[in-house]
Amino acid sequence: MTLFIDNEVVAQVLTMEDTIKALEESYRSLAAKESVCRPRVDIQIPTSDPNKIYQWGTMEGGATSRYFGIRMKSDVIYERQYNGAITQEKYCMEPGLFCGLILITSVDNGEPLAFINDGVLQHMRVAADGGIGVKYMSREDSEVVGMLGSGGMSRTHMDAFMCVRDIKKLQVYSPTPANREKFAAEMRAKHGIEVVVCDDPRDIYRGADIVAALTDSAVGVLNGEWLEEGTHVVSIGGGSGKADAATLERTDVYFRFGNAPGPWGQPEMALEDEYITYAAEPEDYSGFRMKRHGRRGHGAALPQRMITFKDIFEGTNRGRTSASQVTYSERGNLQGAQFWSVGGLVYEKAKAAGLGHEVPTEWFLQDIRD
Amino acid sequence: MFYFAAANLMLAERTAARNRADLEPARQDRQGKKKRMGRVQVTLIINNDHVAEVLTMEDTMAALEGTYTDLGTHHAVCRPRIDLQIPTSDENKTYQWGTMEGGSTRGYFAIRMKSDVLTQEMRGDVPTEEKYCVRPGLWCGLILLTSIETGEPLAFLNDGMLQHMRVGADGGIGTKYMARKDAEVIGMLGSGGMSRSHMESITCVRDIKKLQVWSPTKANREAFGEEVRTKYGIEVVVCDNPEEVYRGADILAALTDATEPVTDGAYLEPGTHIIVIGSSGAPDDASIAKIDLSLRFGNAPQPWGLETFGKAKSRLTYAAMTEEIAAKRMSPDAKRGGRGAVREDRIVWLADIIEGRSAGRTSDDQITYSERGNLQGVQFHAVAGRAYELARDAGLGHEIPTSWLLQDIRD
Repeated sequence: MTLFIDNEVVAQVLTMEDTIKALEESYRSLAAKESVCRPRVDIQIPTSDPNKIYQWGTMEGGATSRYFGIRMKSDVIYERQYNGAITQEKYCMEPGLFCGLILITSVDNGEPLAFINDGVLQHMRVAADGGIGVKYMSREDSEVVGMLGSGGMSRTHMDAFMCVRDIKKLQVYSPTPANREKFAAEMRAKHGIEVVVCDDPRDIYRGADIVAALTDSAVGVLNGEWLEEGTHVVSIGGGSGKADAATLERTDVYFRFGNAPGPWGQPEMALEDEYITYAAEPEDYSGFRMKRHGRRGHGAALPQRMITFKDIFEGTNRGRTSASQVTYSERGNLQGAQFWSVGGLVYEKAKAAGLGHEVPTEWFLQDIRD
Repeated sequence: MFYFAAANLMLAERTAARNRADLEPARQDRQGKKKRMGRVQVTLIINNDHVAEVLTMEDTMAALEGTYTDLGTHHAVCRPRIDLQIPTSDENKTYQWGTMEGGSTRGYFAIRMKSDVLTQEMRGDVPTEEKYCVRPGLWCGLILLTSIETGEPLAFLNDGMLQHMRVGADGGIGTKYMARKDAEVIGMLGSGGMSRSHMESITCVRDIKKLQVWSPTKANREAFGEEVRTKYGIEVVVCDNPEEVYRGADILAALTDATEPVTDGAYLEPGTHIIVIGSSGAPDDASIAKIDLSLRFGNAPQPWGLETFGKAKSRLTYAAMTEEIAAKRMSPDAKRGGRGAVREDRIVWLADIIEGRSAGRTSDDQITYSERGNLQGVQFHAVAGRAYELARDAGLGHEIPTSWLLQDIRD
């Protein structure tokens, strides 16, 4: 039987601790060349509505004797003006629905084991990366988190930070007062820590050991000028996930988990890009200012001050060397390494618990060879 | 060398399955479910029998010519094939995942996914690549078709039948534009599924009167010869030596999955059009030297801002191995990288011929060749889209609720 596993099941079986552990192991195996992944590849095709574009995207990876996983996204994307800012919106079939699917297969026999909705797993894996960055780079005595954003990613990042550091206090700002208040109450109850709701983003930086910018704003939200000595910075979303110039300027150690390997026999095609995009009718849409359209994703931001997991695992550079350094962490273009490992774990746990819809595996197999 | 296994269920047999009673339950089941599920949105899972029942070679060729034209005008897009190779716990077996993708503004996008375990086996003294999924005799090749207007996941399709149809159709398209108009004799190496689909496509575009066929196993070539005689009512000569198929042939079709070239340029006669498919994917050097003109259907476009990415390679392979292990374990297929064996100055492009900028063949003596180029990705949305429409309208296919594939959490 091939399982179809929805977000509820994922939420039920997957813990942040397990996610962090699975990802660390995946990055270790990647550095040791026991696993592999490739950069994200997108396809963009204009729809019949001139303001909307179909976007398909995939990420892939797998490990020796373990699992292979592909994450597939199928959405219609468009831009919307909201409070003067341009945001990228998307949906599948109707607004409020999205299509993100992970297919897990067995490396040992090729069997298609499970399709998994990627929503919960997506939030977990992104936050787990934040936690892994904190684990390796922030000061060991870090206890104050300064946070920009109060959505789903903020919730999962708090889970991740709590796993790796003894956090005592959260300082949070997000643009809508009701949202940040609600989030604060939730964090107080869930983690039993002090939470300060800030009315000014400037305030979250004061005394923070970890600053986390977790928004889907089209423009950057970090301000490096406000960073204090010794802070570790995590940034996702805002401004395509790249930190502002001042933050990069102040970063002493830049921890990029790694780069996806190049294709076999074509090392010149190893890419640092976050994604590459193939587009239909590229000429007609060159003026269409889609966030991800017509631009390459960013690569390594600070190659001179960069260390990777390979350095850490091989013991050549362990990153932070003083309590006053500002550190920064990001995954790099290793998304493909995440889904086989976390998705494989979800599959094992869901199967053991008897969860998920079952479809006969024979439907996906055939007796005709190509 | 290993020819497309006769064990593969024959195209003809599959086609004959159109009226087979065992397809009935699927259809009834679907109609029954429709009543039970009311207006619940469903995603179809379409198997090879369903595809065989509804998709014709004419449909396939029309869909492909359309999509090649669209690619030339940038209304369609695809990317090169990307493979991952990962060692299994058995050191003689390697897992291979491969995908091809493409879509067009006409309405569909498709990804083709292959998930198989590869083994190297010796057949006599020739290494051949075997593969399976779950157990020998089964393979996993799946197409996921989506709507570019809404993003909806419309259907999963087994790719086996479609794969044979689309490869056969490419041979037919090459023949249509490059073979002599009066071509009537086919010389064929191979008598498996690909031979059957090529007979279908070539007879769609030329008035074929005679087939000369050879394959290594006498029983297979005899059975195939008999089948073709009956199906097409043409003269069939079953040859005892491969050299014999070249004599007087207007079209030479080498349709095997041997890992080394099986053609022999020494026997080629003037005016022949050549089709080669299979693992080696190219004619032998002597044939290449004799090719006057080679038709290419097109090239996959380059990604944004990366004009040199993957250029001239038909695929990219990422491997979970150190260099030393890869040297031993990577399949030769993956090491090979690209095709495009014919000299650049002898290539003509399909779009140029269709739009009258190029004449294609200019004399009856020219030896011609056709190859697709790294456009596999653009084939599946077009052909699978057509198969999906036909299957849906005929009430064929298993159903799963589309809601299983959707979610209310945004990433």
